[in-house]
Order: sequence, then structure tokens, then C-alpha cells
Amino acid sequence: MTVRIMAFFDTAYPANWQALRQARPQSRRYPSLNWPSSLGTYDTAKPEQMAQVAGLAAAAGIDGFVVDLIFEGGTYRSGAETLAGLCRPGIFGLMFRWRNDLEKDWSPERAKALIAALAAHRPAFLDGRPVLIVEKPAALGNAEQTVALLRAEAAAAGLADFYLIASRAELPDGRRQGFDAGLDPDPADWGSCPPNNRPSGLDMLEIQAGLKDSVELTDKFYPYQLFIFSRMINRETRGKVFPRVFPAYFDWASHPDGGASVVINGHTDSGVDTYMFGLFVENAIAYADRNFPEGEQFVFLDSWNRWLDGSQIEPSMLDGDLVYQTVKDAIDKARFLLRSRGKSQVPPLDEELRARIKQICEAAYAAVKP
Amino acid sequence: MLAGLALAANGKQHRLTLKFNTGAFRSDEVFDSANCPPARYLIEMGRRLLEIAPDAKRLIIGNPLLPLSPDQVAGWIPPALAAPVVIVDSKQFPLAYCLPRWLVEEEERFLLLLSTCDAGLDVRLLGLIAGCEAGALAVPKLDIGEFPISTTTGWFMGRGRQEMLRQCSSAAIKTIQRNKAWRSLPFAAYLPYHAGSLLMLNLAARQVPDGFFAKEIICASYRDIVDSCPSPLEMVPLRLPWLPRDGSVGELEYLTHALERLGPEVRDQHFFGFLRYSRLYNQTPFHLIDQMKFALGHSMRQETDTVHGGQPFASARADLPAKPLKLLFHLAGGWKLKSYRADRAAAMFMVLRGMGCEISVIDRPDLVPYGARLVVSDDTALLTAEVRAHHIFIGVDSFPHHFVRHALGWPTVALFANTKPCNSDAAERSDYRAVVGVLPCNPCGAEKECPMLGGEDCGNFAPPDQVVTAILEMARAVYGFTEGA
Repeated sequence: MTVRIMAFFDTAYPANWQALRQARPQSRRYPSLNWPSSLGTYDTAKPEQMAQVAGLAAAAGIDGFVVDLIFEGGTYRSGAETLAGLCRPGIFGLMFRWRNDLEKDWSPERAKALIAALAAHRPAFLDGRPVLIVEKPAALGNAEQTVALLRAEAAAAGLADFYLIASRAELPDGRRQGFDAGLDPDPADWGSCPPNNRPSGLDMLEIQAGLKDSVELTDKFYPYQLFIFSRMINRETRGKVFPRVFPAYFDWASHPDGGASVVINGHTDSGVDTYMFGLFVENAIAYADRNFPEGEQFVFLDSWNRWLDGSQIEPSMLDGDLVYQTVKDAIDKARFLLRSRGKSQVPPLDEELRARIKQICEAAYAAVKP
Repeated sequence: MLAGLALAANGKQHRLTLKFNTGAFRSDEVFDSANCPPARYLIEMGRRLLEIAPDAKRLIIGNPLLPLSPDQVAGWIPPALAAPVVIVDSKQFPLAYCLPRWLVEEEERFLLLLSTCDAGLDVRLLGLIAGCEAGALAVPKLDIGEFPISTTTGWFMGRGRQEMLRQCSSAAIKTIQRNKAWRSLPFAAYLPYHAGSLLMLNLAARQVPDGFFAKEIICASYRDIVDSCPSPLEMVPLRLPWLPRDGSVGELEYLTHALERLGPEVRDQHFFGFLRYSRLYNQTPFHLIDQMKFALGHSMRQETDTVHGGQPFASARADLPAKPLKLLFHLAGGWKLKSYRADRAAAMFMVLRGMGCEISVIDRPDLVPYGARLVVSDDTALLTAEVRAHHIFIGVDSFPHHFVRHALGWPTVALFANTKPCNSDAAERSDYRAVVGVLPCNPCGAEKECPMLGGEDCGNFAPPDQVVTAILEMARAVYGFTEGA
């Protein structure tokens, strides 16, 4: 089994096409939102349209989608029923993300309903394994208890091999809480480098006087290259945390009063700069292969169709299929390298000795460092 | 993407689009090699068209430098003539080539000499090869304009590069005009001044016995590389120093001097194939040996054709007792960013010596104070002797690493940083390990300063503990070494 690539998928279409059409930037510094081209404004309930979408994703080497489980009207819904019917074991499957960040009044009584909603999609699980990502572990209150409860409910529902991922940058705490792995949070949740807009006092006065765009004060703007560089440097020290790769991110449409996170990648007059994005995908796949055990090698692509935060890779009016093709090429390249280079044929040193070598090297480095 | 069209006698058309292969080896893809002239792709398109249309009488092949579709090419079909035609834009930039079937089938290697950037030269050349008047057909409303240094489809083809292709085409025209027996003259690969490239070329040539080339133009001072890593290509020594790394002599200027220096007896008796970069070599996942194989004429259609699809070129071990473990380091790449930091190397040496290892280091006197023996390796014989006196070679992405691994087959730990391992590594085995970080800026292509953080060091080198771990794992597996307490 090779590294699995899972893309976040928004099932709220056609409703979100309307939201996309109506979104208006409040600042000239916001990159434009894009509009679908070849796949059109599809309806996630229509099988023939979803077959095209899933087919295009599979053709790029994407192994499946991650869909949200959201509590609405007394139950958890995914909106992925049509998509689930198109999944094929071992070829294309689904994972789920529990949007607990949207659920202010969660109580343990809902655990059964949450697991039931997950279990309803059993035939569509990627490789037959139920995987649930918890969007905001910090909001769980007593995370350890909640995780134990979810595992108990999963066992009761007959979900073998239940795999629980925390959306957080470092795992050591998460492991204690019972999570199997972590996942880099989305760019709004984790600014991995400092923003490059740092308004001065004068800026603030000018904004208050109505002489300057207020987003300088309210929003965070990040340079893409440094942002993704910061996410990948020394990653081994963060534990078993799966990489989240994205071509760009700007959530201004959901922050009409300010507070947006804007990770700019290109976007002046030439659209998304795909060069660094392609390398991000390639290197993330190499990292997952090298650092995670067989069966737990995942890279998460943010996103397939989150048009409202500008991270979509679907073919678009402004970028054509450049971003999609970049992902496809990057996956092809990375998988070719994994296939052709093979795995290390040398038995690894035991953990204790490796840790000791690390310690001695750090001590030696401290002794010689200028 | 490449476009082509096959025309049968009954007027039937077969259209073909080829995309650059990024590792999937799909049937509608063409291998991506930086080390060949654009015309090499024209030949490949010709081969593919003849496969899908064995009854074709004429082939119309889009200029590989241009992102064309077969539909566009179909709009430029010249009137039915047996003679070749170059379809050109309003300023004589070649858009496509209309070629009689026999020219592609029987004389394909001569198509390698097409400039693909100068229609005047290409019309003359095609006329001479075909033995009849070749024509030019203008598409008046299209002006390609100045071809950029690099393109979205991966071409690396500024004015200087185009001029080099023109010079090779011009030289070919003169050679044909001066020799009645020109059809039997050999092709020589022009790749004179980069030791690593020469090594890759020689290794590749062993696997392409029926390629376009019979000879190679090489700086005479690289004769030791040819002796240590021989090739079926006969060496034509070029008595010029290497191209200086400081940029004081451009590649175009060097080619002009080289053709001059080779003299009329060599110039008039050979055709020169330009094998320096025409594309961005580090954008593809393919090894430089594989890129060379394609340049030499192999179609590279399957994964098993690649260097990692087969056995290593060589495999050898030190005939030494397991202790003390003798390690030979080469930590100075040709660029600052390819060199391993002195303080990190020093820490590594201290730890390894503490475990009873003996350290030698090539060309880094600054590391001698940390217990390393300094080694000079001016030529491959000296390098070979030193390698054989050590258990494991540990080297950055530079000639010694490629030579030690691919020519000698010695146990090697490779240290990559701002270049991609896949372009010059070897398959993972008990005696080969490539160690590198996963920063998304790799490969940055920078030489002197990190474009992300500034400074002369690359943050993508593995830290000392990872290198030490890799060395010990290999020493245990290959030599049965056990480290001291």
C-alpha cells in the first residue's frame, strides 16, 4: 500500500454556489474567489454529477474524500450519501471530520448518534477502516473521556479498527488523550509563521481616521512559501502528525467583519503559483512514506472544492486545470519515486540507541557551535 | 504537451497528443528529459505516429517547444507534396514540420539536428537530408514572439540556448555540404564540461547500444573519468579547460570556441548533438542516467526502462576488518548550498570517533581539527584508491558521490539538501541510503544563498544524528560492525 491522499470535500452544494456568487471582498488585498469551469456548478445529490467529480479526483491519484459530519436538526449529517454510493473498496473511499467546532452544546449523549452517522457510511470507508477526524480537540472539554466514549460507541457499533485523528499540530498530548494520530490544522487554526502585516501605531490611527483599509488591523496575511516551509521544518519532532497541503487559503468570505487568514500564493495577475504547491505535495508524500507505519501513511489535501476559502483544486475559470494538474503531477512523481526507490533494506537501530545518538550529537554540536 | 498528425494516402488523419511523463508512464505520455535538444521529441512523436498509423504517408509534427494541439496542427496541413515543409509563424519561427514518412522511418537521427527555433536553417537542413527542395509555409496571423527563458511546459530555452542549437544545425549543414558520404558520418554527443553529466552519459550509453551517437565530445582533462567509467561512445578530446563556474564564460561562447578548437577535421567529419540542458532537469522525477538514455535514442516507455528498474551498475565492498570502521566523507559540493555545514560535520565526526570510527574527508581542511584526515582526490584514480581504503563513503550531491556509487558500487550514504535525490540517487539497498529533509522548497535551484532564510546553509540537510544513524545501520548490515559503548 502506498501513501494515501485524501482531499477535503464540501458536500454543501448547490447551496454554497449561491454563497460563492454572493461573496464580495471588503478589501483590495483579498485575492479573488474563483468559479468552477469544467465540472460546473454540480449538485452533490446527483449521482451522474458526483461520478464525474469522483472520477476526476481518482484520475489525479486522490484516494478519497474527507467529508464533514455536522450536527443539525437533532442528528449528524454528512451530505455524502450519493458520493458514498460511488466509492469502491481499495480504490476510492471516504473519511469523516466531526465539526465539533460548530457544536457549542455537545454532550456525551450525542456520541452514539455521531458514531451511528459514521457507521451508516460503512461500505464507503477507505480500505474498510472507519476514520474520524476531530476538528477541534481543544473544545472537547475532557478530551480523554470523550475519546474513550467514542471508542466504546464505535466498538458497540461493530466498527473494527476505528481510527481517530486530532486536528492539531503536535501529537504527544493527543496520544495521551487516546488519539491515533494528529493532522496539521487548517491555516486559519494554525498560522505556522508570523503574519507579514504588522500595523504600526500610525497605521492604526490612519485606519481609525478612515484613511486606510482596515484589514491591515483585523486580518492576518501570510507569505505562502514561509508558511509551508514552517510547517515542514523539523516535523519529526511533532510526532505522528499527518501533513495537510493546500495551494492557497483565504477565508475572507466567512469573515465579513474582519478576522480572516489570508495565505497568499501568487494571485497578483497570474493566479495560483503552482510551483511551490507541487513541491509541497511531493515532499509531504515523501514525509508520510518515511515517517509513518504501513497503513497509516496519509497526506490530506485541503481541498477538493472549498471554493469559499480559495483552497480548491478543481478546475476553475481563473486557473483552468493548472492547480488540478499540479496535484496530479506531484502525486505521479511522488508515487513513482516511492515505487522505484523501494524501502530501506537495513534493519533500523533500536529506538533507545537512536535517542542516545541524537542526544550525543546535540551535545557535540553544542560543544562545537560557533 | 506535444502534438502530431499522421496523414494516410486516402486522406485519413490520426491525431496524437503526448504529455510529459511525470512518473506514471501512461500511454499518452512522453519521457521527460532535459538532456536532449527539442528535436529529440520530434523524433519520438514521429515514432509514436507511425505506431498508431502504420499506413501514414506524411507526418505533421508540432514544434516540441510550443504547446500545440493536433487540432491546431490540422489547420496548417500543407498541400500534398512529397517534399518536407516547415510551417512557420509570421517571423519564421517554426510551428510544425510536415515530413514524408520515409524521412522519419529511415533517417530519424538526422532530425535530431533540427534547430526548432530557426525555420531558415531547418528548411535548408531538411532539403539536404531529403535530397530535394524543402518548403516553408507561413501562418501569417501568428507571431510567437520572443521565446522565453523558461516556459510553463518546462523548457529552458533562452536566446543563448537557441543560438547554440542554431550553431549545431549550421555545423550540420556545412558537414553535409562538404561530404559526399555524409550519411555515414558519426554523431557526437556534445556534453564536454560537466563531470557528473559525463559520468551519467557514459553509464547511459552502455544501455543504449543502438542509439544515435557513436562518439562524445569531452574536455581532455576528463579523460580519467572515461578511463574509470568507460562507455561504448568513442571519446573525442576537446583541448579546452572546463567551463568556469563563475559565469565568466557563457555556454554559447564556449560552444563557439569548442567548435573552433575541434578543428575542421573533426567538425567536418561529425554531426554534433546538443546534450546540455534544454529543459529544467530537476522538474522531472527521472534520474539523469535515464534522461541521458532518452537523449541517446531510447524511448523510455516503461518503468522497467529506468535505472531503478534494473540492477546496479556495480557492487563492491571493502576488504577490511570491520573495526575500526573507516569512513570517507565528501562534504563540499560545487555550490555553497550543497556543502554540509562545518559545525554539524564537526559534531558528527566527534560522535563517530567516540564510537571508534576513523574519519577521512575530501577537500575540507577546515574539518581536520575535528579529527579527520585530509584527502585530496584530484582524479578518479586517487578517489578510487581512497574509497577502497574505507568501508563507507558519505557524500553530498556531487561527482564523487555519483562516481563512487554508480561506477564503483561502493556502500554509500548520500546527503542531499537543495537538490532532488531522484535526479542522481540510487535505489535503496543495504549499501545505499539517501538522506534528505522534506522541506517544500526543495529543489530551490539556488547556489550561493538560501532563498527562504538567507545564509549559505541549506536547512534541508539531515542533522548529524540522522547521518550517524544511517552510517551505523549500514555498517551493521554490510560489515557486521558493532559500535563501541
